[in-house]
Amino acid sequence: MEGAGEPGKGGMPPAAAHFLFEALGDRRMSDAHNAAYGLKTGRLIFPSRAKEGRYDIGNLEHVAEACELAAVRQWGEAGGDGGAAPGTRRGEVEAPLEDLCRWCFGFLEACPVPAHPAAKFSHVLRLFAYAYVGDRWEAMRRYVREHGDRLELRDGAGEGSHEEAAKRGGWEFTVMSEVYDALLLLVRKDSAEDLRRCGKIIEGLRGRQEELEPPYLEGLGPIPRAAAACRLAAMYQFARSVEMLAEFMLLGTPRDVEARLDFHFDRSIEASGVGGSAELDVLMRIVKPAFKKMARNSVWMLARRAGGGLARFVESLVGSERPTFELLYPQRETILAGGLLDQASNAMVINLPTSGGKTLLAEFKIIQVAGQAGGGSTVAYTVPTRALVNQIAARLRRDLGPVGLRVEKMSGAVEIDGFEDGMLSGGTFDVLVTTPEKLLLLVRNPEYDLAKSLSLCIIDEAHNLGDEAGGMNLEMLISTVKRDCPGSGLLLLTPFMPNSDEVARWIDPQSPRSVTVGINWRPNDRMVGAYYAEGRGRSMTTYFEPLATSADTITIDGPITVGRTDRFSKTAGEVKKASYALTSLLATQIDKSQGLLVLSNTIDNVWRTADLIYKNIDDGPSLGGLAGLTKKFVASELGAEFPLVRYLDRGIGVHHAGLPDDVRFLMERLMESGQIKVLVGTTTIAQGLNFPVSGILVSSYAQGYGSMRHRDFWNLLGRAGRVDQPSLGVVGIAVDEARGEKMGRAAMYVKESTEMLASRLVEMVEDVLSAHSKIDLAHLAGEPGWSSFVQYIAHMKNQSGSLGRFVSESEVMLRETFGYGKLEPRGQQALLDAIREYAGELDKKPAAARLSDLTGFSPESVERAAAAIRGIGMSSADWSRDGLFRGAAPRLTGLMTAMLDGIPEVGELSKVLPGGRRHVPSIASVVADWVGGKGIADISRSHFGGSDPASMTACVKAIYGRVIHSATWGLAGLQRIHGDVDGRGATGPGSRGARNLPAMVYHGVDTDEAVLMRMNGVPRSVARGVGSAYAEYLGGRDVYSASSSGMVLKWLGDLPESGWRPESGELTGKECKNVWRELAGVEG
Amino acid sequence: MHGIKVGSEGYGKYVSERVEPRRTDTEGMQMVEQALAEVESSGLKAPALERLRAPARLSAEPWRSGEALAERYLRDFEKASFPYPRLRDERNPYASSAGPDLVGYAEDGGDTMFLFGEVKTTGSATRPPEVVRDLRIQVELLLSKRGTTHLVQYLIKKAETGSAEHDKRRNDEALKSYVTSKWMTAGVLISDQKPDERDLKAVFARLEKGAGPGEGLLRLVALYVPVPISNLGKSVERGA
Repeated sequence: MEGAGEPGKGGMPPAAAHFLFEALGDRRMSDAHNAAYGLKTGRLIFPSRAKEGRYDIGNLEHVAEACELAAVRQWGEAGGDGGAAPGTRRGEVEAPLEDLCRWCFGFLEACPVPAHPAAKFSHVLRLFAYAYVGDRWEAMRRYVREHGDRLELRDGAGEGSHEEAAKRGGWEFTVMSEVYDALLLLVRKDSAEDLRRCGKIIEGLRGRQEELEPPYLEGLGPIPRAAAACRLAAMYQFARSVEMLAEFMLLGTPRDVEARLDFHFDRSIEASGVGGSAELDVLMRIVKPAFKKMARNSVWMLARRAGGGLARFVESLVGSERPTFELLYPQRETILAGGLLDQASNAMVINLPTSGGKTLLAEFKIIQVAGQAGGGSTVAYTVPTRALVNQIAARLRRDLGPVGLRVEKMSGAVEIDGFEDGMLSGGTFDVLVTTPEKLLLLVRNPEYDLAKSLSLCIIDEAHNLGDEAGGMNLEMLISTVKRDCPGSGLLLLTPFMPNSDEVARWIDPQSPRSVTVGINWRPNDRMVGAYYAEGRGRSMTTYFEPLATSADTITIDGPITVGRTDRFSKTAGEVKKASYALTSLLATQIDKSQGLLVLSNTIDNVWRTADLIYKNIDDGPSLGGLAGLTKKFVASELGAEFPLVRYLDRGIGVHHAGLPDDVRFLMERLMESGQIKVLVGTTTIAQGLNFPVSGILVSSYAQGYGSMRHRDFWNLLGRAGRVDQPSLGVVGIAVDEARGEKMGRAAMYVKESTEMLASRLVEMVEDVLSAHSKIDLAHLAGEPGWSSFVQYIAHMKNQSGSLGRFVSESEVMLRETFGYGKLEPRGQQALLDAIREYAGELDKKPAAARLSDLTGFSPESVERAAAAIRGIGMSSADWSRDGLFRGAAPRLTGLMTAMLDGIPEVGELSKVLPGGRRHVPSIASVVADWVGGKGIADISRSHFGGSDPASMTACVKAIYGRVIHSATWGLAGLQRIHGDVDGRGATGPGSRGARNLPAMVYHGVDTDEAVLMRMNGVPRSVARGVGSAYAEYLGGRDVYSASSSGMVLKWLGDLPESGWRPESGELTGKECKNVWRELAGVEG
Repeated sequence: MHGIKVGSEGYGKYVSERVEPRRTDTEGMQMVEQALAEVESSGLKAPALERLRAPARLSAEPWRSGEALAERYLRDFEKASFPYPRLRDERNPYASSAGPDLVGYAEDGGDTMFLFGEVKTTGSATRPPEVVRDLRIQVELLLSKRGTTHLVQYLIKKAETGSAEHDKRRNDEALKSYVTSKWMTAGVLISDQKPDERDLKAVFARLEKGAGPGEGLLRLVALYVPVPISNLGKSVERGA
């Protein structure tokens, strides 16, 4: 019955899924669905929304009951072990049990919680069973958290203490209520203590049985007495099951937990039957497989599959402050069905829904691989952004540290500074977190052994392969790892991409492994819609129209009224015309308690939106903790007048490329910890967004000249609602009116599916061949994408040794790429001809080809740079801090001219000055001021026309978006090339200091120790002072060899607050140290 | 609403040929013993069995025989069937609602449906007898469908476990009827008094009036037996 289990329109069970749904008819099903999700949107998202009375709760309960009956029937003869196959018995179409359970849960959780204790007991046990058997345990956990006191059993009985309850309901009630309490703790599992309390509660029952049971039974007549004894026996067995499962989740024992659960549940079912309790009988039958499922989800089950290191890891997961006891469905499936931990799984693509918990999976694989490979091997973990490098490194340190794995991160700068050189030469780490660009530079570099020691390369967000900007680089990285790192496995992690099998065949043609799990799994329900306003003057009503999408999202009949206002600071006409104004209005009306993300397409609109929200909502509670600290930090970095400072007072944060990295990182932390309620950002935030929100308002999904890619849109949508978020996440798109063209476009846009992942190479080749008869690589080398490709060719040429060998191997080399196999024969031949011809040219300039590997420039750029350097007449003494960055910095100006004229890879530098003004001395001066430690406000005043928000934004964007990436890379490349031209090389003893010059640009500081401090998260404003203190501490010891990151972090942790006082600004030493703790992910 | 009077000769024949006696005490107690045998594996103690043994012969109690008689009547006159053994006792004071006395299937107009029934056995000479009030309350509950879900679930389990294909089909038919609000509720009064339609008439009118749309079919039946209620148990046992 293929397709029977597919979700119906907008998440509704299709009538065809079950004969009972058909019997009920579409109308009743759809009314119940509208009620269930209408109530949820009202409760969770649009608080001003109509009351419950609008919905037919009776029908909702009726449909919920029918759905439960369908599920119970499906539990079937297998005893409901959760594994019942899709049923086709008796010619009827039936959905798989898992789907039925999910629908049951969706309807039942929207029904009112019954007041009667026994009904409540049954309600919660049934929800529990449906959630687990439907592979949505996280939904049950959330239900327990969201409903809190309403689930108290004794409240329903109008009773307080256990003693009073026992007096009223007797021993049987006491047993029921205490087992129920223990079960809620077992579901919640916020801490190990919850599980210990489970055990204590059941132990407490044992202690009181002798006293309370006999009088209770004696007070009953003979028949009720025998029946009660049987029911008690059933409950005792259930109590034991709860206790045993809690013990298993905590300690991993007893090892044969499933067999034991079978035993106790079977006894319980038998006793319920004899005791005449149909209700208990059915409950025990449906709860039994749920218990076994929880045991199977336990992290302990994994520890068994792969020995030592993993067992220790599981112990640390369970014992940590924020423990993980259970795997999410996609995680479990990836390991069990997908074979992630099979030793033969050397190359895998894992398609996991956003929030499916892929970092934990990567951690399991790292431990397994590190254990097999033994010491001296390295796992590389690449993530697309600098912010993610910091976040993932902090997470891996926290999780893998306890099992003895050393985690280091390297900056995203395309250069290797002195400290990184020390790290790489010393081999002092097991796991390296960095960006793909940096890793590519490292594996190509023959000076380090990384290519040989690499045992696993994890590519996070691998769908970026299709990216215009970084896709080619990523493809070349994977191709290079496949060729140059024979000992390395590849693990690609991506949100859903339709052709992941193809990608798997590319990374391992012999045994392609692609795991796609849980396409229909989602951490919570999601609703996508369009919002608009109607009204005149100041009087407006806003609406949300749910839209059907290509993904499994919820729709209900709309439109839903979001709110009404007559006090907004813009008129209806203005709101209808400007989507930022409309979005701001919505943001003031929608529930923000669980975090709201508001997205605009430009930085200007981000500021406008944030300002309008600020003007139309009240002050939040006074800022404490991190929010207060961030406010002071922002004031100190960007000036007290910077608008973000006051926005923070009202719980509004801002996130875009016009803010320093540290500030953006703190915005994310504030959002993650719930200390701000609204974050206004640009759509580019989708990349690397790693915090959950319950709502997203998209003011515009335009990006550049087109729309945001669907893959990015769905990835972004994945952030609306996470495992620990409310049960419904909402994503809205601004449109001007209910039936306008924009509404039509939005409706079409969300209906389109995620694109197939295509190689950039294919597009690049087709583009060239559409206008030319051949591919001239030397000519194309300066173009983005092609530069990566020619570097790959140059690298392969270097590796081949001779031209003859390269030519004979060239086709095989091309086949290592993802794109080649997808090209038409004509394109393949043209590309093959092109690389053979190009290799002939490279053969004539081996130095340029070799330097291409070391610099990340194309050989053509290398040649132009070499010529320019000769022209400047640089001496080795010029490669010093004073030589480059002090005074009028003539050398720096010369180098920057070389970059701008001859190295298209760092072409972004031309956009540093406002309006793209090309005045090289000024660009060099910006760089010199930055390295010299000038504050952003000062630099902005000197070069960007003032310290107003617009100038500051331009300044920050120039520095963080351009200077630190391109100037660092350019400088490092030129330094390398100069060393070569000079005939010295640049890696000899004593040259590590010189290698730090580009890193000084990257970090905006001018001493080696300050670079080291910045690498370890110290805010820029104190990095120099703290660095000096560190140099004093070291005495005469070599800063490079004496400084592992563990040691530096410890020293920083011990540094008294007085040592943290910034040279200027309002932050105290204590506050500054606390900012560092946040940035470095160090717990205080 | 029906009332049937059976003469003493016919009664004896009917009872002896058609009515199945309830399970004996010994069998019931054996089941209880078995159910309690392994309680200690839970870490709690088994309730002491000697306290559980009933002092009287329960199988002979009139209400139990009344249920057996009512069940037989419904089988014969409402095409009802009760394929699964009766639960020993539904009277759980702490369950969300007490279960009905009879749980099975019935047919009406070609539709198969679930049947839930309440039985009241009385020797009272009051007209209508006092128990009729309780009967009304219980039937009202069944009509409003409260407390029937878990019984339906129980029937599903029974039908799905080891039953013949025919039984499964019957159950599916009944399920379809149930979700479209078709099921049968029966209220049976067993009395040793003279037949009198007033016993159930007022109750029937009230129940019929109170029944909203989508509520199940209602059958109210009075069976007037020619033996004193106090002897009903013996008469059914003897018949058997």
